[in-house]
Amino acid sequence: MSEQNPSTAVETKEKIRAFLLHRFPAAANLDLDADASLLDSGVVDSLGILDVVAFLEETFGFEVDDDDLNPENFDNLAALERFAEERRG
Amino acid sequence: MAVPEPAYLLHHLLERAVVSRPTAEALVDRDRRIDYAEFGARARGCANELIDAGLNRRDRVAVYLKKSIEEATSLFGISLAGGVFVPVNALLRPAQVKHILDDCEVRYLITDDTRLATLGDAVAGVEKVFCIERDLAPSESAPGATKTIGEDLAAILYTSGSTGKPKGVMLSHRNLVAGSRIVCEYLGITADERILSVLPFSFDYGLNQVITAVDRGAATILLTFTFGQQIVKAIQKESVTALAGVPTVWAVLTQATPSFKKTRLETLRYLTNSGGAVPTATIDQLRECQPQTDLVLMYGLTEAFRSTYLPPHELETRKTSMGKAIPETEIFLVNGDGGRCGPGEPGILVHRGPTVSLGYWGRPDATAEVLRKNPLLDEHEGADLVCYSGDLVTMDEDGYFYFVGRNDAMIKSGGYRISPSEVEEVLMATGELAQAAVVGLPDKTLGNRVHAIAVAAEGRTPDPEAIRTYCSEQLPAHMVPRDIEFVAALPRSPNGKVDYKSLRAERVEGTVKT
Repeated sequence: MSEQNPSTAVETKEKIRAFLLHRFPAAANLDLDADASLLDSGVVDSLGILDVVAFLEETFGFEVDDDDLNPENFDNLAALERFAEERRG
Repeated sequence: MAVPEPAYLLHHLLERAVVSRPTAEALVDRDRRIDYAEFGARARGCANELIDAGLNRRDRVAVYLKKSIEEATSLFGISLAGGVFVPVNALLRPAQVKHILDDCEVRYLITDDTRLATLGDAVAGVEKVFCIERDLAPSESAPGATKTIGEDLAAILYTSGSTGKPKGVMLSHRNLVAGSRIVCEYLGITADERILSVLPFSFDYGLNQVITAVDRGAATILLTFTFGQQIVKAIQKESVTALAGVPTVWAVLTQATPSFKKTRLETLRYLTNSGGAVPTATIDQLRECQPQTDLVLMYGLTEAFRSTYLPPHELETRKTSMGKAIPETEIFLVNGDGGRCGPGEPGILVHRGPTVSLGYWGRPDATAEVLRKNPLLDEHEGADLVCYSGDLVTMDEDGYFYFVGRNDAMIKSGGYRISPSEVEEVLMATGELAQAAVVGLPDKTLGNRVHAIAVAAEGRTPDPEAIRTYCSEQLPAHMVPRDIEFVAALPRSPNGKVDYKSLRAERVEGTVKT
């Protein structure tokens, strides 16, 4: 389900934050706003990536490609926000 | 030094490879590579240090490391020294590590500085800790011969049942050597194999990749991955011929790894699956992406190591089958009356053969439930001990088996066995709940996902997210409930126990919305 109304980057960030906190309860112990690493901390593992990809595709209506699947896009909240904002166009 | 033939101790397999293939690549860990000569030297170094520290035959030595050359060589070093290795999953939290260390009275621990720092007083009962940064240097001098025989314990692997804390399954040298021989036979593993190892060694199935590779003098490529692309790259870079996975690995490869679909991985000879059923749609995708690669579906339980496999040529006609008995092994089903089931009749899967384990460490009662006298033979006819799986299964006319369900509350999720009571204990420790029940609900990726149903403690309005965060501090991620649902009361069966069957059925059938 893609968004009908264009939302701001702040809304994008908050949607991602809410998803992360629900799907990965251990994320509550990370300082997400200080770019705490979701990958190095082990909070998001390979299976978690699968769910993050499904969430991004469903919420922001774009397809994640091979070249997108790397730590630069998935490592922390700011990276995910930037990636989602870029790709939703 | 002459190596006994046939090999009957785990480290004989390594000694044989050191003699016959000293310069063949043995282990690859990113940019680090060692051959069998070096593998042998590292195992000897580990054995010598353990013996110098006073290791006695049958002493337990735990290995708590990430997937690495040191982890693999330590297991063989412990065997060489006459000890029993206890691999601890690198994902476990200190409380679960402590349970394992205490439960089987681990005398020595092999770990690294970072992990040791997180463990705190969990290691209080351990006599000596070896850290790979300083200890276990390779050695040319072989330790003296031990008195170990094939019936001695080689390993203890911790796994969960339907209740209580994880139990340690005791595997003898003969179990491990037979398991390796059998798997090598039906998968046709040779010295040319390059096996990608992504599963933990604490899992019998994951352990078997490195054992079978050593058995044949083949190479094991060790990989810890976050992105499926890392698997594809490792297969290409290392000319991998074999990959063992659980259903979640196939989900990652088919759903979040576009390159797996686009790239023909020509070297990849076979994939094996165990730890849960692969959805039929995923089987089709795997075959479509890599048509040159065989897919071998298998089933096993730690208590009997490996039980069934489906030959790849049967996959087309029997996609939902668990396969047939592995070589050297008899698998049969028994019904409620203890008799043998006919074709199509559901019964408990019973395993008979050389990989039946020695039971659970320190738990004779639990062992007696799982290892029982062969029900099809009388005592005077040589009734041997067989393993009751607790899995409800049917068999067709041709001897192929089909999974029906579990006979108890144990949850199988993402390849892991999870005891509801272990999760419930942590939920209750929050003090926010009056009652909690944990069930597995169907999930297309995980097989089952962990779902908690709870009753709030009087006067409390618990925050489910805060409780889940607490759980994630106490438990590895695969055990943390995906959701916590609040109800006024838990249903009880006539004998007063929480009725897990109806809790699950109501949610599966949709009479209760989750």
